[in-house]
Amino acid sequence: MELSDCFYSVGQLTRLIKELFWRTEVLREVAVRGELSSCKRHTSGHLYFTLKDDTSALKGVMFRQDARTLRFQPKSGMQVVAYGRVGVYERDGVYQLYVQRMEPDGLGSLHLALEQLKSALAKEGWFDPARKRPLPRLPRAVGVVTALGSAALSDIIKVAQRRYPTVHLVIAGVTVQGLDAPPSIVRGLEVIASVSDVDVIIMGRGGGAREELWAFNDGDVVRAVGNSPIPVVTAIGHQTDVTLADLAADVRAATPSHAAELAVPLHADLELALTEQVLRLRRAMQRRLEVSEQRWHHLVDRSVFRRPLEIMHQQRQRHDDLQQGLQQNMARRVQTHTDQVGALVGRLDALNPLAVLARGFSVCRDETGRVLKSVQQVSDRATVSVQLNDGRLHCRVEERMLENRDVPVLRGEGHDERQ
Amino acid sequence: MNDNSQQGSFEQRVKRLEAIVKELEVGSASLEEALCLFEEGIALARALKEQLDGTERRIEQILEEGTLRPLEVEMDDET
Repeated sequence: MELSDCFYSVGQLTRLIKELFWRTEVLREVAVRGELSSCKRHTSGHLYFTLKDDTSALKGVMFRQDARTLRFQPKSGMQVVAYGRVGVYERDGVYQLYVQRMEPDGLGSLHLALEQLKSALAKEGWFDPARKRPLPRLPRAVGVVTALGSAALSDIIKVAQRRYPTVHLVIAGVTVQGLDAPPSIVRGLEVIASVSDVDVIIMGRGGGAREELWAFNDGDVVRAVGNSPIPVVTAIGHQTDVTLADLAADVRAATPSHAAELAVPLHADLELALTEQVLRLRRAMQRRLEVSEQRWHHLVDRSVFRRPLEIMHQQRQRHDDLQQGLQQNMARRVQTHTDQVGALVGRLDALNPLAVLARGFSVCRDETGRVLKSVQQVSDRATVSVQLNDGRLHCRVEERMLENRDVPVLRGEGHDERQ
Repeated sequence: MNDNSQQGSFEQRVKRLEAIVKELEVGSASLEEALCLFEEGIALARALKEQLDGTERRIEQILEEGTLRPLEVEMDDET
């Protein structure tokens, strides 16, 4: 096929090229480092420029809404880093860098060195989260490493005194930028650590350009912060500025004032907390005593303690009752027995055959001692004994005379002699 | 009973006081032990209060060679 058979219009070809750019991924989001030249700001607000280096040039544009975010004034001759995409401007048949973000790159090689130092220090462990210590609740003294007479220092002092009026501050004045800064800062940290009361250190400086904060990226400063026997709070530049010293610190504050807030407790809070503890202590003790007292009362209130003699009285009364009962009982028994005995004695008396003796009756016994109840129980001329009231008579039977024939005859007790 | 109200950092002593209060509130100690704890707690609280109120306001500068001297500070008009 002949070349002349494929005719493209300008538009077609341009669009093809545009498509090609669009399809190349790296060109859709790219960061380009170069020198600004022919930098012009249009009345529309759009920024037009060329980025170049030793060998090449690249047209660039930054539209108004993106250009508004620039934090510096772009000027021809400046080294910058531009972030954006490469596209084709069809109308002019040019490709250009559409820039969304741009920043100065004056420290290009310095930046690289920083990254390398950061990795090295990280490997040494200076940024290890495990190294970070908590700040003391009430430092006896607060050390401050910063430039004398600086706004940062007066901010720190103001905030510290507001929070804790009697705060003890020890300030080491150091150089915070320039070549002298790193050794000055290191020495400042050393000297402050020698004050035994210092329990926390604030190290910082106010805001500034990147170069001005550079001392806090120094390896010696980082190691001094990491080696500090006392916890360090850093406050370097603004919130968004992060230096290597910040990474090595125990705590990083956004500003010097913030650092003072972190390092210095609120006296009122501490006082309140202490008062509360004392209150709780007293209340708990009070309650403990009350518990004991309750137990005491509980025991004491039982009647045993209230009327200890009561028991004794009761017992005594019971004892008396019993005793009385006993006595009565005994008396009654004795009486009964006495009566019984008396009665028995009476009966006995009545039965006593010898009582009749007093009345003249006598008891006649034979030789064997057997009591004679019948004349037939003896024979004539037998010896009998006659018991009278006051003695005995030994007699001989002269004659026996049976008189009472109605009396039944005795069997087995003697002779049955019929007269 | 040792007087440890002077020993230890502020942090440690506050923690000890808090521990004493908790133990007393739980109420499991004997009366004797409770009294003992109470005494210790009060002594600690006193020492801590002293430390809180004690420090004189001091702003010093430490020089290169390590000597301390008072630092004059300009006070802002705002409180």
